[in-house]
Amino acid sequence: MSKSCFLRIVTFLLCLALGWQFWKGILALEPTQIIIGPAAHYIESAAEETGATNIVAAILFDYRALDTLGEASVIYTSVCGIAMLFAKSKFKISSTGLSFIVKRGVSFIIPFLLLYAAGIVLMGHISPGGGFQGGAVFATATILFCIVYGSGFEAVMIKPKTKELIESSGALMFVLIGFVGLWTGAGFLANIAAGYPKGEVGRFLSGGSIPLLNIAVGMKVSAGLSTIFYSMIKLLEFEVTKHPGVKNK
Amino acid sequence: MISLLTVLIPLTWAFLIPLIHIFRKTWLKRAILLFGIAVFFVTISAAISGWKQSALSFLGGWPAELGIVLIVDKLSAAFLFLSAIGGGAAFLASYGRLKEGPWRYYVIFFLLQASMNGVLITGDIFNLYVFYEVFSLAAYLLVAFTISWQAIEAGLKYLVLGTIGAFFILLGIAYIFMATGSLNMAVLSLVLPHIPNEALTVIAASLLIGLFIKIGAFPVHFWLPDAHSSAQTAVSALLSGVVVKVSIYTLLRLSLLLFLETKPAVFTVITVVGTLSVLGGHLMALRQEDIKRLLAYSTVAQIGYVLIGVGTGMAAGISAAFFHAINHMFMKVGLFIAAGHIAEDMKTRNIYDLRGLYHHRRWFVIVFSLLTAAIVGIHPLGGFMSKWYLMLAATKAGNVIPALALAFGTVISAFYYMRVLSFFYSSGDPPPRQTYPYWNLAIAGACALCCVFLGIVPLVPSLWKLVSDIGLNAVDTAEYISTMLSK
Repeated sequence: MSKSCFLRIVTFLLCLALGWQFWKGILALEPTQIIIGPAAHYIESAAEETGATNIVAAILFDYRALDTLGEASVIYTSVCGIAMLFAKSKFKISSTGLSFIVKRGVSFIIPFLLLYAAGIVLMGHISPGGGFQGGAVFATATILFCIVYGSGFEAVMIKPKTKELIESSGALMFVLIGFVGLWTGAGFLANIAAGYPKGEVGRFLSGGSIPLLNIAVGMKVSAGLSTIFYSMIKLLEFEVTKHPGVKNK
Repeated sequence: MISLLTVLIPLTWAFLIPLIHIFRKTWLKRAILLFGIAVFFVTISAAISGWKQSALSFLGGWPAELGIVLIVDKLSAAFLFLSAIGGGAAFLASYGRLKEGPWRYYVIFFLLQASMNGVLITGDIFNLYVFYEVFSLAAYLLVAFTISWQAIEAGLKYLVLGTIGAFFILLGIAYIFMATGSLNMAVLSLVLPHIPNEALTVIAASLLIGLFIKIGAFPVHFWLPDAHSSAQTAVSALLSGVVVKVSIYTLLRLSLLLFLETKPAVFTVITVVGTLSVLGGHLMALRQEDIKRLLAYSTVAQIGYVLIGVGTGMAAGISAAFFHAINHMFMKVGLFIAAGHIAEDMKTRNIYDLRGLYHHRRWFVIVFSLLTAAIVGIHPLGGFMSKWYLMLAATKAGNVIPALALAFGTVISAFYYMRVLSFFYSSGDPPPRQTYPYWNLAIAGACALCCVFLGIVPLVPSLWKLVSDIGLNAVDTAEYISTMLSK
């Protein structure tokens, strides 16, 4: 029975005690069958007030749009930080990618993948999805290029500057869309109240500013996640080529 | 509306800087300086307008129960003022040192400023968490910015512990949402007393643990000395001067709104942690030989002072806590900028190697001595006044032991700061060369002058009324609620 073993047991017991307390807190709350608070209002009148049939999108991009701007800023901050911390090494064109079969197979998938991503972004207000999810799919497509076709492939060579441009302009677009509401006096990030057309509920052209905000977030997230991947892969390849046992191809 | 701009303008700058970098690289130098000044003035004017009359902005035009409300009352305005000054000083220090070179640094800097202002003015508890996330991320990155191994290690440590803290805060917010279904702080203040006591205990515990980790209070302070000492000069000043104060504001706001009547035990816990921080921070600082680490441990202790003030839960204590917070902001920004410059100039951070500094860097040492006198609490300076009012408030609230700890801690701090100064004033070898960074000297000097000025504040009734108004406004939660729910 070493000292570290004893400490581990003590820590484990402390964690258990903490968990028990937290569980008691949950038990104390009686589970209610009725929805209380603002959630009830959202369910009842989100479609009417925002023009979006997807209530989650209505909450994310209309009722609590500032939170979404904040969450998008979290991604923006981490992208900026990763690009800053991993900026030292040079980009090396090395691998030739995966086998012929995979390349062919993926080349069939890619157009559908892009279409799928665009669909998720554009129809965020009428179906599950939105800018965050669609943007992540877009980023996956760019990552697939690098993995399947090798980093020498043309599409991989999208300049980091271009991505930065897309990311920053997406973020700015979000703020500008919000400023329209401030301009009309309805409040920052106001939707229908700011004069955005509501459209016919359930149709593609509806929801006022929600689809626009979805596009802005999609731009920001897709370019951002792609930047994260390419900032890190640089370092990885740099280390591999430096290793004495591995020859450069 | 101006309150909203304190968040939006720095945020927009952060998004604009990459575009300027791509299209008009030559503009970057002027643009960044202009942006920094604009942020300063917007924040100050928001603080002034919020001070005169509580300023609300309803985002998206939704009422408080449905959407997010930003509110600037006197407490927020006071902390906005602190953030504007501290942020401005750190901005000038980093601009003087880095110029426009690493533009990503400024992107993160403006994001930090935006999210700190966001935390200070938001009236919605989940929005608070979102801004907290942005500002923590930005702070981790600024710590790691220099990419030396110490900085990376400190940044990683800060990241891990900060994330644990954030998880606890999120857990508390999730419990609150489960129990009440609403997130607006004014609404919560009304409905929280009606939920079961066990659940309230868990909520209070989660929020307190999370916030103590973020603040860097004594038992969970390990990240703070590393992060504050390994970062570069301007970032250290910003972290010690402003970032921890933002966390203290959050603790103050949440504990007053949610737990003042329902769970007075929360304030006892805050007092105990504050007392521990005072003793622990000072005792740890006593052992340090690295000047920046010494200052960082001293921050732990000073946070303890502020927590003792918050822990009284009374208007006088909160006013004194804020007064100490703003004093500490000036003192620590000045000390970190002076010490950081000295450390870079002399290529060492060990106080034994800084012997005889007075004979070669006269003005720096004079400014440093003045700031040291202020932080120890020599009579006419700001540090003495704030500690005096803290002791008065603590004894009035019946917290005699914290008040004694406060006095004892001051004695220890006098001991270790005297040790540093005695090395500075003894004779030693002249350093190899001399650089004249007027920026750093000017900023540190200005901070020292402000400390002298703050010592006068309690003697002038009209000025002291401003400070005592903060506490009165902070404990008056009924007014906060009625303002917020007026629409």
